[in-house]
Amino acid sequence: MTQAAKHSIFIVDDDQDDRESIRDAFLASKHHQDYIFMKNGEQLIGHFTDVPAKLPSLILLDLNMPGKDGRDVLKEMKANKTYNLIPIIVLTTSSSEKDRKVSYELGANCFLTKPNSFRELVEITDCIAKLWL
Amino acid sequence: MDVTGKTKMLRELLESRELYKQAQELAHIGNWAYDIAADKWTWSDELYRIYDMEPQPGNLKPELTKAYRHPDDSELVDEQMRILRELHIPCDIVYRMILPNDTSKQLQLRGDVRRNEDGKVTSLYGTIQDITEKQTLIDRLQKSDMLFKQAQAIASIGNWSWDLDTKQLEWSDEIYTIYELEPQSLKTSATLDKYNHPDDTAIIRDTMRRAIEDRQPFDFNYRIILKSGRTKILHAKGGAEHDPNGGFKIYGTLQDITEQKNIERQLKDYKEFIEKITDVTPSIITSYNINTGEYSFINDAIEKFLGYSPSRVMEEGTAFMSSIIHPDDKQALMEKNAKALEEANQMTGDFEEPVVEFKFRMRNAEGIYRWFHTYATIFERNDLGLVESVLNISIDITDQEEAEKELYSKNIQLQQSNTSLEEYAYVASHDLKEPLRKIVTFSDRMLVTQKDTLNEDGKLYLNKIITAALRMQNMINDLLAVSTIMGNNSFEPTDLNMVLEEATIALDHKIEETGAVIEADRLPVLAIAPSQFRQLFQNLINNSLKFARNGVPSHIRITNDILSYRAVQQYGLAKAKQYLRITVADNGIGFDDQYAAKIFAIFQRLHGRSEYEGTGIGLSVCKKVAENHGGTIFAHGVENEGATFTLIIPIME
Repeated sequence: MTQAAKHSIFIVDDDQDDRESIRDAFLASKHHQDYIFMKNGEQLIGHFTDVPAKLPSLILLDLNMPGKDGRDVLKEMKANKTYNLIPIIVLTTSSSEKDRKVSYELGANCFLTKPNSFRELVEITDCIAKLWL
Repeated sequence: MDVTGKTKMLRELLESRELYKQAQELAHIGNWAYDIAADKWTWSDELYRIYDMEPQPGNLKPELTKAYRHPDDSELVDEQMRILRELHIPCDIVYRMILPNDTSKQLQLRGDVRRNEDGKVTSLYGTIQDITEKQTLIDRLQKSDMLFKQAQAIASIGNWSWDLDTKQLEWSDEIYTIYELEPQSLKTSATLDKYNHPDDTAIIRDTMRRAIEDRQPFDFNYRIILKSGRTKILHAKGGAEHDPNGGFKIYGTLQDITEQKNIERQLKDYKEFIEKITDVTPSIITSYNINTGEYSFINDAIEKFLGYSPSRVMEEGTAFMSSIIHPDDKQALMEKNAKALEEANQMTGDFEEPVVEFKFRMRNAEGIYRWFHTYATIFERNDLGLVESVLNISIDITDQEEAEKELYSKNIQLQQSNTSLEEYAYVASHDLKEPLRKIVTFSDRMLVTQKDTLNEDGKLYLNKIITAALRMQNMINDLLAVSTIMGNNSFEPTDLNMVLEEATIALDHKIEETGAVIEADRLPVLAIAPSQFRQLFQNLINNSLKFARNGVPSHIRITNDILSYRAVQQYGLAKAKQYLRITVADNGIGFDDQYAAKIFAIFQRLHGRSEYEGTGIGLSVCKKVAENHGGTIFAHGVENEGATFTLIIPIME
């Protein structure tokens, strides 16, 4: 039995607890993929400047980060013809209408607010995996 | 008739008189004689000259000159000569002749007979005078006499003379006209004294006495009252002069200057009126010639507003004024001015002079720049219709300008502070929510993962931690919502029915669940911030749904009306505006009316959390929305019967 190649999922978030929680939530619903942590926008954009860069199947992006934030990342990624098709899901603490609007305008494929409970987070990550992988 | 014309005519008149005299002296008279018995003609040299011929000896027949006579006059000459010869009647005629060189002359022929002792006519003799020049002079003299008379009539100048010896007065026609009398209707011994104005008789008598006794020339004005009752002002000028016969004569001119004086007075009044206006007006008024840069008028206000004396500016001209214009304003001002002048020069046909406005700074005498708003218009155009001079009225608007600038910077500050407040609220809420979410998330994970090791107390405490954190999160969300709602102040005409519908749709689930009934009258269209009003309706309805009586479904009634004038007074509102009143009444648990004001305070609750959920922000949002629209909201409650919320907002145009 051949094992299907693993998807690589970039989790871009400045909060280590959140990065780990998101990965744990995916794992909790048995989505065993490659989870790559990045703690800010610079790290993500830096990754794509290496040629050839390993392309992820999905990017989970926090909005508010020090330095290059989620909005800057969306802008640069979606302006780049090589990478603009990589799905980016914004996963943020913010529930503001403005942030939602701006994110979609910048080309985010989905905007989600981080839930309060881990149980809800598991439900969300499960959904993401099923819909976007 | 202006003075120049009059002087010219008088000069011409004098000249012609002089010429007449010269002409008389220089008159060339030729003699001729005819001896009847000898049939012999004799001509003097002068006569040859008149005929433009060389003097010749011998018998010169007058027939020779016949060819030179003007055809129309030839017969007349022959006839007169025949009469002289046959009837011996002296002749004196004027006839014309045309010489071979085509010049024409007027000749005066005089003739008579000479008799011998017996009384028999022996010869004819006479003179021929070239009167061409004289005639021209007489013509001119007559013409200038006529001109003189006309001039007198036009200028209303009459002349008079009084012979001191004969006591005889002479008045020209114009004097009669001035006195409204028939020309030459008075005897030369009469006087016009009775028409003199009583207040002026003394000065007239004095002046005349000095003229007679001291031979003093005079030049003065006096008034007369005519038969018609009209008063005239006359200008008398004259003096005494030696008569050629040795006597003295007072002569003078009299001019009716009533109209002139009236116009002068009117002009003076008008000028004083304008001067008064320009002196008291709080603006700088100037007019200047655009070609020479010279000012023709500057009012005193320039000293008051800029500290420069009008005389100094007058002396230095527009160059000075342009030197005090702020360098930053100069170019734009000059360009606009040049463009306006060009446009004004291109205007044709009937038009009203345009007014062009400028705003710029000028430096006052203390070196401080002041803002001026200048209104400029064309004051004079030349014969070609091109702009000659410009009138400027400048108002000092420095205070206004500074107030505006201050307001503008205050607005900017306010905007900045609003923006930073919004940012602050956003960042604060975001940063506050993160740790809260972690508290909830990890408490929750603990409840799941440590399910078997935690005892009941531990589980209870963790749940309390989660509940408290969630409530805090809600409060932060509410605060954030309020700050974003208030940030949006774009008012637009909105159908309130639509807004209400959107608000109820958001509460659909809850309404259905509780079996509530909402009744609303038709609402008007109003200029409001729609998102704020949606929140307001939602919060009021939600409030009613939440505080329903146990087992009694909510019945919410929403009515509206325009406030009557009396009601406006009762509420103590500004009377100039119209107001819409919206009331939301329910049949819920109500409240003690003493807390009516308290319930609008933020996070204020009248009931325990355990009974009713919510952070207590809803009604304070309603109050903010009402205030944001320049209105107000108040509540009235009766315990266990219901609550009524009344919203009043001004109707904006």
